[in-house]
Amino acid sequence: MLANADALARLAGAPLSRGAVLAYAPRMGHAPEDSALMLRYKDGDIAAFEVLYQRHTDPLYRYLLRLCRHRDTAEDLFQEVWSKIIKSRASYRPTAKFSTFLYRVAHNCFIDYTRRNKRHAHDTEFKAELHSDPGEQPETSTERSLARERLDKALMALPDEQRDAFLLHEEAGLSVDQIASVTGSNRETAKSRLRYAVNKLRTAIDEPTERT
Amino acid sequence: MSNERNDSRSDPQVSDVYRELADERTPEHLNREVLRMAAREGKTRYSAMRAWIRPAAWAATIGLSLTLVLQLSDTPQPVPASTPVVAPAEQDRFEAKDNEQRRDGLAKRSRTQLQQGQPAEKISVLNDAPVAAGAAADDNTSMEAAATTRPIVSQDPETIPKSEPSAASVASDEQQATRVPAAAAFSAESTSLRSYADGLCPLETRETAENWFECIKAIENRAPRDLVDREYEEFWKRFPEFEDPGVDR
Repeated sequence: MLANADALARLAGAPLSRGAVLAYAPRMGHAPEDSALMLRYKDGDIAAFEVLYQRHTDPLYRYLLRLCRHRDTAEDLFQEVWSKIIKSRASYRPTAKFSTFLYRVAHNCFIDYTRRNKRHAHDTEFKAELHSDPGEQPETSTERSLARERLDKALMALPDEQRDAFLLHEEAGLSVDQIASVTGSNRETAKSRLRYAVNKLRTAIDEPTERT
Repeated sequence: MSNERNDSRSDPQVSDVYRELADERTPEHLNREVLRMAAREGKTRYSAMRAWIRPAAWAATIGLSLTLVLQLSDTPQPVPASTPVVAPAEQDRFEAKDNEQRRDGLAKRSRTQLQQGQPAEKISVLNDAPVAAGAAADDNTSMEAAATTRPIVSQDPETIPKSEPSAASVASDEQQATRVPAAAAFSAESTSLRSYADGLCPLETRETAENWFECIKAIENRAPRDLVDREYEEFWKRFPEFEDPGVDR
């Protein structure tokens, strides 16, 4: 996927290639943190950005894909988000977790997109490819497949805010406080949204087969 | 990430099913596009600057160092015109010689005083006079003694008739010999003041009016005013008929 795979291996545990010992230099043997990578990229280290991108690309893509439910829109937003991250590197300060920063940008891009395209905001074009695990027993496979299908439908049926909270929790691994920070809501609101979302999805998964 | 997912709001079953469902990967064309954009932005602003910043810093450092060295080597070392540079060892030698001359001078002076009938106490004061004048300018006794000394010193030692040393003069010499080490301990500054107290111009210049007068003129601006005035006073006492060539009559 990445052009410079060697750079990734080198950056994963290596100290800074430049002679200067910087404040954000990682300790030997530890993978550099996202903030450190972003600061390296700020100083012109492209390979650091590649590592950072590799860490976050798929979760971010899935987050946007399920949030806007439209593949082309998700791709546009995905590019827009990374473009903003790249352009904001000069002013980047590692005051918060990088993933919080990244998903706040993504969330804001999605909000802007829905405001610009109110008419198409609820168009549902994306449908997940439901495939079964080849190692599973046929019965189990069918049950799991049904569960996935129900979850997918329930997820698409969730209100945007609840879906947003669930996806931030699942894809970005954010805590309730971080979700509140990303979505610009208070902690209790974020907590309620997440709880409602999880309850609805759980109910959908547990539904008897006859009803689906 | 997984640590933060251990939350009371998490449902493991929902999470598992979601993980099975959500296995999409970012399309390759998006990866290429984003990484190309990152490389382009990163290079344009920072990489080019970073490539030049170290050589430029070295060049600037070397250039400044060379300039500084050249400037320092071109600058002439300031040498004070009035005071000759004397090595410490040489200076010590000069001081020792000076002390010796002074001791001789004082011995001669005391002899002269004795010949002229002055009491021994007065001689003792006179011998102390140069030192005292240097040590404390406001000491009246010392200043008076210094003033009294001058006409005697101004006399040519060659013209003074030599006589047998009396007991008083021997005592004075001994007394002087014990005082010289104390006088030698004085600083260079006090030494120069002592030379002023002895008389500003050397004895050989005082032989003729012209030489003495020129000497006074030469030191007029460097010596203390009151000493110069005294020197003039002595000069006019001794050569009252001398006509100053610089004054139009």
